[in-house]
Amino acid sequence: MRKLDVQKTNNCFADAQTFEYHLPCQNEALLDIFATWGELSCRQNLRRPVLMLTTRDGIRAKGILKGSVLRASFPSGSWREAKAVFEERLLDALEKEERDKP
Amino acid sequence: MEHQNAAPVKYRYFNNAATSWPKPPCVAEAVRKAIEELPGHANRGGPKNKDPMWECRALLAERMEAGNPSRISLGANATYALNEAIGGFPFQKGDTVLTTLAEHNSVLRPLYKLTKMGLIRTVFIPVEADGRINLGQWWEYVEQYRPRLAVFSHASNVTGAVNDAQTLCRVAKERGAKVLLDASQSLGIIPVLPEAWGIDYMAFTGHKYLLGPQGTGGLYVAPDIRPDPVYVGGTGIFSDQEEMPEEMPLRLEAGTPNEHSFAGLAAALSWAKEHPLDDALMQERTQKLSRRLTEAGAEVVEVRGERTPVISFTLPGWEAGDVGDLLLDSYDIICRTGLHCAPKILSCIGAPPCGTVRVSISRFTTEEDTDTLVAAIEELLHEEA
Repeated sequence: MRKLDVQKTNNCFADAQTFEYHLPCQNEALLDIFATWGELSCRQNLRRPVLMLTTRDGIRAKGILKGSVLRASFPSGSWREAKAVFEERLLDALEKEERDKP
Repeated sequence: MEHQNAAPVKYRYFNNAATSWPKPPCVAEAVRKAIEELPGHANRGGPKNKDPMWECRALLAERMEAGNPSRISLGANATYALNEAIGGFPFQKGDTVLTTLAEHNSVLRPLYKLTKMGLIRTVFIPVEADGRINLGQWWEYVEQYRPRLAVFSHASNVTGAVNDAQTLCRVAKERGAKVLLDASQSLGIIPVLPEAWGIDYMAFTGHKYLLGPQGTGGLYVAPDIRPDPVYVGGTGIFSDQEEMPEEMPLRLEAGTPNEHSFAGLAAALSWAKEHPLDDALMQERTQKLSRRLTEAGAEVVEVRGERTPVISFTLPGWEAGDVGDLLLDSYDIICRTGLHCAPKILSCIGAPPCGTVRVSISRFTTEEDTDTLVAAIEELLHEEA
């Protein structure tokens, strides 16, 4: 059964829907796939370079390129549906990454 | 938070307005000792020659120049103290409480609760763009609303602006109000003199600028006030009475105290006596950091006049939460972002709904720390995506 290691994170805003995904690979291994999901930028000049992604359905995700935690924030109104779709896509991406490993 | 190697991370700590770190080394030592040794008696048996609670109380009284240490009750934190003061205040139905839009939820939520119960009416006075109460406006509100109780923070936890507590207190008391001062952000970093200023109640915490452990705080109560306790229970003595004892501080100290943490706070207070803080230097260091952040491109909430070492800012094009995440993940810089538990102040200081980034320094913050912070802000703002 496909499963993600995910934890909800809370902040000042009661309706914030932010989750941390602990991935089995580094974030940078998924860059090519993320680039097809929306607007992806990589901030290379930071001490630990990061990726920032805004998907076409308004999900915002970020993480250290060489890290394995991806933090995603979902639009508050439709967050359950958006999260479910995002997780399916993420699982597909992880499977592809695993398959394509040299 | 994650890192790619096992080397210890050198954090840059800019969250002293939340809780101070590091503490003087004697604090941990005192807590350890208090746990390892026989507990103090706390009116419940045990060695009579040991009472860290009383030692702490005496040092606090000395620090705030209060004549009688018994007027300081000790408890879990400032929130506990504010609830004691607000919840135990002898309100009559329909009384007005005057407070400010700069207050922390530890003030706001007890007031909301009593308002929703229909007991009080809460009137909010706006603050100026730097988070400070305007004295003229305060006078007008006091005159217009004639509050039974006036509650305000000595220093804003969002901007660091310090209020003229003595004058605000005098104005409110001249019109018949009692005054509750929230000194959570001021005691330990600037002079706080509740007795000299005529304050009726003053809540404080031990773990911020007093440099003590978390889980310590208290409520100063003026000598002419007979507080009505919210929390009631065992006091170790006078156990044959149904009511809480009349005498302070026992009247507000139900239950076994957090003795080892107060031993730590006592150690911190003694240490601070031996190592007095250079108030002017802290003001100068804060202003310098504020200037440097502005020069780096941050939109800093400008504070003129007396302030605590707290700076709030936003970065153009960035949400505060993202800045905080990146400072931590990419630079090991610890700060605070968002509403800072003071949600109503944002409209006064012109901050966006997502709040601000707040950095707060202490006497232990180094030049290297501030250089790292400023460089990180520059990189965040000037990076080519």
